[in-house]
Amino acid sequence: MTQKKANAVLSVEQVSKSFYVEDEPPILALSETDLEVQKGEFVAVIGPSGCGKSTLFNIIGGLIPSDTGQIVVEGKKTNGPDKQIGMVFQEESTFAWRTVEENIAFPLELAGVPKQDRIKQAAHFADLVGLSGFEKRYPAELSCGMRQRVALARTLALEPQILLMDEPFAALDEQTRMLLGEKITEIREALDQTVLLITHNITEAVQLSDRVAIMSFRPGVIKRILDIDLPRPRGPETISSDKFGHYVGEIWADLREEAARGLRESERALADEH
Amino acid sequence: MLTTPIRIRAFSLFAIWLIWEVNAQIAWLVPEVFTPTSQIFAGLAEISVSPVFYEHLFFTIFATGFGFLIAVISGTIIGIALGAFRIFGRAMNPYIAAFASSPKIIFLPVVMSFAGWGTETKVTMAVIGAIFPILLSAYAGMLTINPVHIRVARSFNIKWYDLVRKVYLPSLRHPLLVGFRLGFGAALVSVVLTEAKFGESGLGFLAMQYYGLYAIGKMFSVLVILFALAMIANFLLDRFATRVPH
Ligand SMILES: Nc1ncnc2c1ncn2[C@@H]1O[C@H](COP(=O)(O)OP(=O)(O)OP(=O)(O)O)[C@@H](O)[C@H]1O
Ligand SMILES: [Mg+2]
Repeated sequence: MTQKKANAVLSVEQVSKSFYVEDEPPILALSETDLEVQKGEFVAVIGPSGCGKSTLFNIIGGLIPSDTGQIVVEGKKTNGPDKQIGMVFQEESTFAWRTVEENIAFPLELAGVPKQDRIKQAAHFADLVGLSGFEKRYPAELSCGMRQRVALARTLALEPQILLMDEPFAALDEQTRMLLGEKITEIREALDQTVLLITHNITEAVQLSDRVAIMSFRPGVIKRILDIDLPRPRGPETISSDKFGHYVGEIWADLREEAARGLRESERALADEH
Repeated sequence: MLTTPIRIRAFSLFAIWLIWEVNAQIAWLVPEVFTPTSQIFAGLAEISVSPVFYEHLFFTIFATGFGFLIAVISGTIIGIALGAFRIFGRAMNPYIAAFASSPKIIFLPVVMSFAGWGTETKVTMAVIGAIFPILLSAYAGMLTINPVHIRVARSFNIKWYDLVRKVYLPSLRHPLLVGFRLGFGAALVSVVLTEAKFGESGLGFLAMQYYGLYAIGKMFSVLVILFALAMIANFLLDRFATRVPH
């Protein structure tokens, strides 16, 4: 454990968060959650809807403060958004008034990179996510999956060590999602990044990760961590293998309980309202 | 190229001219005011060669433009501030609504007691007229900014001024343009009203002077010029709007 900690590039330590809404009991979204991510690792966090995944994402990214605990990046406690962490959001987040290349160059612009250099770098990252030739287009002229890749390239432009993604492909169709998953794996290898992917998709979690952290529903806490011992690259053969199916089944068995509980609780909440 | 909207536009202009002219010729509806259009054209021809007219035109354009510019800058800043600090915005909302919907001419005596009879008063009235539509549309736009854009920006550790320049302002491009248009109209109305009431210069003053002299043709030609001014301003704002990406 102590030895592990020395290598951890990102650790979540005893993080709790409650939300207070008027006239309602407080919601304990995260309860003393711990998670350690090693350098170069791909970890998926999976859990039922409303279990606190996005809350965890926002706390790690420094966008909201936690009530207790801390986030440690490379041995240093973070305070607000950290340069080492790049975030990709679940929602469509490209800037409609900027072209693809201007979108990708946005963080470089904030960092004061001269125009010529940032256009060059933007072109590089556009190419990396498979968007070369589309640099001058506006997001409105792109498909949903392409826009999500623009958002990814924009985050990659600062070359963060840790890539944090909150269901980045949730709005996409299955095939596009799988292909983008492969793309992410390639990019991670090329850039030597550590990735933390938040998802509710079991296949995606198994396809991409070294480890899958399963979250429980209320209080949100990491209930179990599963090592995925599958060879890479994980093409169609791996996905259709028995071992892959076995992992999917195991995660589903764990998640099923939590998801069912989440569903029951939201049904009860609905019943209370009426 | 004669596209359909242009045809409709030309036709409606012609129809109004026709109705006007027929009315004047048969001396039916208030003939002493609705003079034959030939008189208006004669008035236009006459004032267009008089240097005094250009002086008045300049005064009106200057007061309107200058006041509008001040209102654009301060209205945008105030609207963004109200939207960025929600509690402040919600607190001030009833006051702003009350000011915005009151006729601005009621401020004239107060403004005059500070700024006198000259250009300062006109400019101030233009600002008062234009600032409310601008700040209200900026404020309303702020409430509809996509929250994920702000989160993206914050995740890049954005500075507040970059947030304003690179996220707020471009997000507000459409509501601001609407606000600018309404604001320009309001500035022109305020200036011309002030000139008509108490001024010693400007197109509003000139129109009232002609009216006092029963030079109805010339009075209308001043109104035609005011109308043209508003159209030109709108056209310029439109041109600017098409340069703004969707
Ligand atoms: N700003 C907030 N105010 C009040 N409650 C909140 C807030 N944000 C989240 N919550 C509550 O905290 C819980 C966890 O929310 P969170 O968004 O982290 O869930 P999630 O796991 O990301 O769900 P999903 O998979 O549906 O996106 C939910 O029950 C939600 O109602
Ligand atoms: Mg979520």
